[in-house]
Amino acid sequence: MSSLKIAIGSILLRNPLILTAGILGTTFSSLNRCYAAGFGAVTTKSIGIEPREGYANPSVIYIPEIDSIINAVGLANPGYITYGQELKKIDSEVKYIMSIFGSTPDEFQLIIKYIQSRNLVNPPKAFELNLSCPHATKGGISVGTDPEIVYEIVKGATSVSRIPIWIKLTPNITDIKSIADAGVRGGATGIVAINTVKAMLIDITTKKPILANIRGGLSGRAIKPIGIHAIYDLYEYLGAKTPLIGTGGIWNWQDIIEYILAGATAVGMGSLLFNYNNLELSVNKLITGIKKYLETQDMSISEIRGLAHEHAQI
Amino acid sequence: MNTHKFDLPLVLPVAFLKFETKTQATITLEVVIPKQYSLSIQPGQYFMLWLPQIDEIPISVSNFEKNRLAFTICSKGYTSKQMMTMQKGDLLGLRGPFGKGFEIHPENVAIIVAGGMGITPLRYLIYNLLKIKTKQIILLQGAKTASELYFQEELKYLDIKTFFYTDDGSYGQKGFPTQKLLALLNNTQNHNELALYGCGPEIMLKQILEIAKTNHIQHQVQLSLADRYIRCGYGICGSCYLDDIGLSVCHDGPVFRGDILEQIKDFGNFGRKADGSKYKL
Ligand SMILES: Cc1cc2nc3c(=O)[nH]c(=O)nc-3n(C[C@H](O)[C@H](O)[C@H](O)COP(=O)(O)OP(=O)(O)OC[C@H]3O[C@@H](n4cnc5c(N)ncnc54)[C@H](O)[C@@H]3O)c2cc1C
Ligand SMILES: Cc1cc2nc3c(=O)[nH]c(=O)nc-3n(C[C@H](O)[C@H](O)[C@H](O)COP(=O)(O)O)c2cc1C
Ligand code: FES
Repeated sequence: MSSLKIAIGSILLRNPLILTAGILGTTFSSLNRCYAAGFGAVTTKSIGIEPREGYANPSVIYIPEIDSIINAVGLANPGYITYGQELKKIDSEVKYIMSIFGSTPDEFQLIIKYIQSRNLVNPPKAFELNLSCPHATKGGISVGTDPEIVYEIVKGATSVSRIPIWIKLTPNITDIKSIADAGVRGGATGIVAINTVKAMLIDITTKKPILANIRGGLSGRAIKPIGIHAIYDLYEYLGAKTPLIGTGGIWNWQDIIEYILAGATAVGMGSLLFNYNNLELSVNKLITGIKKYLETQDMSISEIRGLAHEHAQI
Repeated sequence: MNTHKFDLPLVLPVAFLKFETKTQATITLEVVIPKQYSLSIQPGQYFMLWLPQIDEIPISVSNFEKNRLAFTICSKGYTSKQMMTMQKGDLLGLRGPFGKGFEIHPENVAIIVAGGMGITPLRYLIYNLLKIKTKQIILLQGAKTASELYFQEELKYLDIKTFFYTDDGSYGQKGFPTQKLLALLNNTQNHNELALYGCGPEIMLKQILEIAKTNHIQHQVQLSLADRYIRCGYGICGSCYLDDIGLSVCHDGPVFRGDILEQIKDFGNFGRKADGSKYKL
């Protein structure tokens, strides 16, 4: 059977499936369990400076009609110092990405420096900068919507980090390419797209918003076409040299192939695990599906990457 | 429309309510599930109960009979206190049922150990065991004091053997139900037909497991960890995972078999707060 090994820059993974940030990522045990289930890499919950309880509940709701999830967890996390203890217990073979968030370049730098100073036996393979936090001074706009801020944050992070810096992009902007461009100029060597899409739910009986935070973000099946579009745009703009981690709405192996054809090097997924029965089986099904597809096509993963673009040009 | 589970909150008026204590610190609320739904609820499963614009909290099913779904809630913090003030007709949102519940078999001798509020899911378990005509049902119920022996008036008239314990000796025997469990196991020849069920403070659950282990019947024990922070109910947000083997309370549990709990280092030792940090139980 064909190998699914891939490289995201200098990072080698046994397969392109990455557990996305915020899904089963709070504890070392769940990260270990997911890696053992077969993921190529796993991503931690986004970790910030201060402990945060997150928003009240309901904060995570599955919407059956569209096989999607709306969430407003509110970046609940124990803070980087406490989380450092968690990282110590991640199994040595587990390849993981540490997702971090902040509202200034300094905050990102502080976390990176601290984690690097811990001399972890198994350090993260990359830091993924979650750029969805509101900016500290610029009137609450999300840091990931302004190319200047993105450039400053990424530049700051790459200047102190000994490992690759990835950025995670929000789809809630007019021009995703300008943000990606700022990130790449700042030194990012991986781009994860997309984060959740702004969304909300109202209960018609009580006439009230359902999420405690009123507004939230959509993930799951409904957002896949949006993610595919983002990856297609990014590949077209940045070319094959920049690794792209296509994320959003992956529900089966066909969706993974679709992302790779759009230009993804690897894929991130999370919502599909909701109500899982057997994690190993779920991951295995995806892997077998991709392998069979590649065999019938007689091509490797890297050969099918971005193929949709060639076809589009004909 | 999924008629077996509410993923989006189904909002229903409270049809019946009753305080379980004179201090009005524990209340049973009932809603009537509309006919188009066909819920099948395992004992031990829970719902997320939503008070719009306040919060949503996990609450076990305390009974489900003829479309009437009952929850029993004790006032602990802000949201549960708000529930104490509800009136008939007030609206309550429900999502669920969530999680894995208790497995039951008619050929068993069921020994049920309840501590404090832990009786809530066990009440529904008892009605289910009676329905399938389980060979024998023994309830060992404990509480701090007489007024916290919830449902004791109701349960003592059922066709089950009951033993009551209070910390202060105000009702039943002074002491803990686990003492009786130990004695029962020592006096039972045939351990094969036993099924042990428990819910209550984790310290008590840990003792149950220890007692079962000394009798080599940990795989016949099922305990519900109904006192941990739960956010999503789907096993995805990561808030409720137990170290070291990484099982979720909300989806893999809240009911776990004893031979699984044996491997869970957090069991009886550590919990996780909403921010993900650990605390000593
Ligand atoms: C599976 C399960 C079944 C449960 N069944 C029942 C039941 O039948 N009856 C009952 O009275 N209680 C039950 N509980 C406990 C109940 O959910 C908490 O007491 C309740 O959430 C407290 O909320 P609060 O806003 O009143 O308290 P808060 O002021 O928010 O907090 C008080 C304490 O309650 C706990 N708590 C708060 N939020 C949650 C949450 N989302 N999930 C779990 N614990 C929380 C924490 O330990 C906290 O320290 C159950 C819990 C679980 C996990
Ligand atoms: C419950 C939940 C929590 C999430 N938390 C984070 C987070 O902490 N950091 C982050 O960058 N993305 C977070 N996300 C977004 C996911 O990482 C991912 O980008 C999005 O869910 C789309 O992928 P999916 O459709 O496969 O879930 C979260 C998503 C969900 C559903
Ligand atoms: S509460 Fe979300 S994983 Fe259990």
